[in-house]
Amino acid sequence: MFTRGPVVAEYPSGDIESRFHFRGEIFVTLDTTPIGTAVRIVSIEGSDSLTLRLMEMGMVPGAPARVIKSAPLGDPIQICLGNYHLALRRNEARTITVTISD
Amino acid sequence: MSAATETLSGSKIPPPSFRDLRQPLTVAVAGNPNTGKTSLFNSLTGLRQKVANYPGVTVESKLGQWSLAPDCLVRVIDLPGLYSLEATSLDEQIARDVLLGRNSKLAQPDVVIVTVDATNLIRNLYLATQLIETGSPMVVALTMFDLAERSKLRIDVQKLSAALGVQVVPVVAKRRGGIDDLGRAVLSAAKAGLRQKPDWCFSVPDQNRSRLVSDLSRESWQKLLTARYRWIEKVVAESTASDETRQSNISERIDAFVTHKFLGPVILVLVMLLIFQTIFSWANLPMNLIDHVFSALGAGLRANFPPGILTDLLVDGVIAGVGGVLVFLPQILLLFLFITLLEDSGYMARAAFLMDRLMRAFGLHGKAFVPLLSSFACAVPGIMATRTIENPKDRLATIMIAPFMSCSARLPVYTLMIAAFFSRQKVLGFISLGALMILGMYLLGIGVAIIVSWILKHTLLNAPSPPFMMELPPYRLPNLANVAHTLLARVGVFLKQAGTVIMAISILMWVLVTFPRASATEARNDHATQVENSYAGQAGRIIEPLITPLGFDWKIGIALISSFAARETVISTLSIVYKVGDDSGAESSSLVAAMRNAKRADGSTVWTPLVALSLMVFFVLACQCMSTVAIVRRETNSWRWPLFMISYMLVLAYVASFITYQGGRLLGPG
Repeated sequence: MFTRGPVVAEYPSGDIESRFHFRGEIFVTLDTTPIGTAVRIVSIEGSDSLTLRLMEMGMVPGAPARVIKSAPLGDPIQICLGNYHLALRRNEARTITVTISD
Repeated sequence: MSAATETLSGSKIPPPSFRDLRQPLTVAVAGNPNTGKTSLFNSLTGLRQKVANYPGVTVESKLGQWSLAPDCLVRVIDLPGLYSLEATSLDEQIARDVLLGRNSKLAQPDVVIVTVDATNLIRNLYLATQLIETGSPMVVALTMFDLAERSKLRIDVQKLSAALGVQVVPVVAKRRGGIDDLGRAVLSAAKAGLRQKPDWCFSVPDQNRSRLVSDLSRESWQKLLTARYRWIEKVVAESTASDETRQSNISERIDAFVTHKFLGPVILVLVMLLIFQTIFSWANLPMNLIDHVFSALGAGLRANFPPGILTDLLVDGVIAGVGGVLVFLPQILLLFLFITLLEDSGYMARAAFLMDRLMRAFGLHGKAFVPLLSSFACAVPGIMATRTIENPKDRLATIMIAPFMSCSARLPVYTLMIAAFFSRQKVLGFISLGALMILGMYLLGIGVAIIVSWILKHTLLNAPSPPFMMELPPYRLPNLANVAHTLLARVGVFLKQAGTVIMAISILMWVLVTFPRASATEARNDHATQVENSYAGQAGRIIEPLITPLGFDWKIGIALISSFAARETVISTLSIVYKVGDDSGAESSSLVAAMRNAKRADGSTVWTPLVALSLMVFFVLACQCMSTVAIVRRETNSWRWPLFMISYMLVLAYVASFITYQGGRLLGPG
């Protein structure tokens, strides 16, 4: 099922920009990921209980994900993580870095 | 179908003897939310179950009995759903405490059945592996096994079981498939007792750990967590084969409509409209039937018993009081039916998804939508459902406004007022004015709730908006047995309420209305004089100056006083005050007619449409429910919040009712 994602041990620290290139791969945060694009989780910022919970629910590095849609008022967004669906506010989606996989 | 059928019909697990087992065994069913835990619980226990509260807290736990073998009766506990042992909400905390034996009042279960959704193995196995690591006796029940097979996912149960180190039993709860195997597995697990820790342990060795995050550095827990996922991925990859990569296609296709930018909100409004219209029209037939039965019962009693105080008590007190409330059972059933269907089908989560942005504007959380929607049935389960909201301030704000959602107990009051003063009028030719007014009352409650929550979140409960994250479970056809179980439990609660609280209040009100007896010189048979001189009449007189500005006379005052115990008693009290339940003919015996005919001292009619409207507004906003107050007391663990709730809601109700009545009088004659 989950195969190992791209190994990204380091990436520029500090503010995560919405989109940047590193070692030939495109990184975006989940809130700016185009709808329908298949991505893999790279990392989650933060050490609060939500980060822990997201990871416990499978948002671990390498996990496949896809943004399905945003709610009628633009927020929250629906994400397909592995093979189940999750609703997440853009604020929290911003802390999740993903890489666009093909 | 290969591995599955073998195990389902299986005779591979030897039947153990359970002579030496501690009796009765206690088995807990735990697992992620939406994994068929309750279905499994229902097929294990059938009808031998009851809803109880965990000691000390108001979390509803379902207890049942499972006759595992002819001479082995097992106690089964259905735990709240949890994603991990690192609990983030009250619900999860309670489930975890029971599972780890930390609940001081409840012994650690002898065996834990972990439900694992076969269509979502990886995430479900996270909790399962955490539990397996504790070493306590455990069986994995692979639920949704039929769905997995249908989506061409083949699971090698033997391999999975070998990797996990516990027995894995596929079950199809609906058809009771695999239940016997599960029974055998539970018995052998109980017999084997504590297991050795597996060699793939990923948890912190210390049993007393409170939270992973606080105990470990971020790097350490992330490493452990990721390692666990890697291991699970490997196990799943080795024990499954799939022909298709994506399975949740159907749900996504439904979502294309249900959470569509434009269609989604339209569907949401239509669903709510359908619910209200149904409750108001379909429920009429059975309601009339119940009404007739009770009228006939009262008339029959009066005909066959000697006239006297005991007969009066039975007919005017008990039958008029309890019957007046039981009439509304069909409406309450329908409301709970809809709420249960929406919840079980997966639509509720979508509604929360649609509403989150809007709710946030009012300082609420998307997850508050489900408790608030349940509060339309009854604030008590609604307030209990706030336990899924992690942030305490958000939870408190939701609890504070939940009673504004027009609950099923208000419905009788609205229904009565509309039947008496607004019936048979149509708007635009086809929409009944009554249905529209009911909708208006619901909207009034919602509107006030929004304002109050906004104010609360900017004053007392000021806090940054917390994160919103929730699973959108796949759509599933509601399991009819589960729906029936839920409804049965609700009917039970309602009947118990009608049989105890409402009966007691009915009798009390009858006594207060009947005593002191008018003296013989006064017209003893003149009901009006009797009521006026009674204790209740005196109390009504005392508060009359207060409620005259709202358009209410002292008789309505009596009903108001009694309604603070429970709203629906207003009807039984009015029945008693107006002495309905009499045998003087079907037409005049109805409460509606009595209300229409009621006169003030000066000969003017007591009830005008405006008075009815004013009373409805009062009932929308006032917190007249002892059960709600009690539940808020328990959920917030203090008297401060419930007292605050009663007082501010009463003030709001009074002001709104005052504006309605006085404003209406200014605008035109009553």
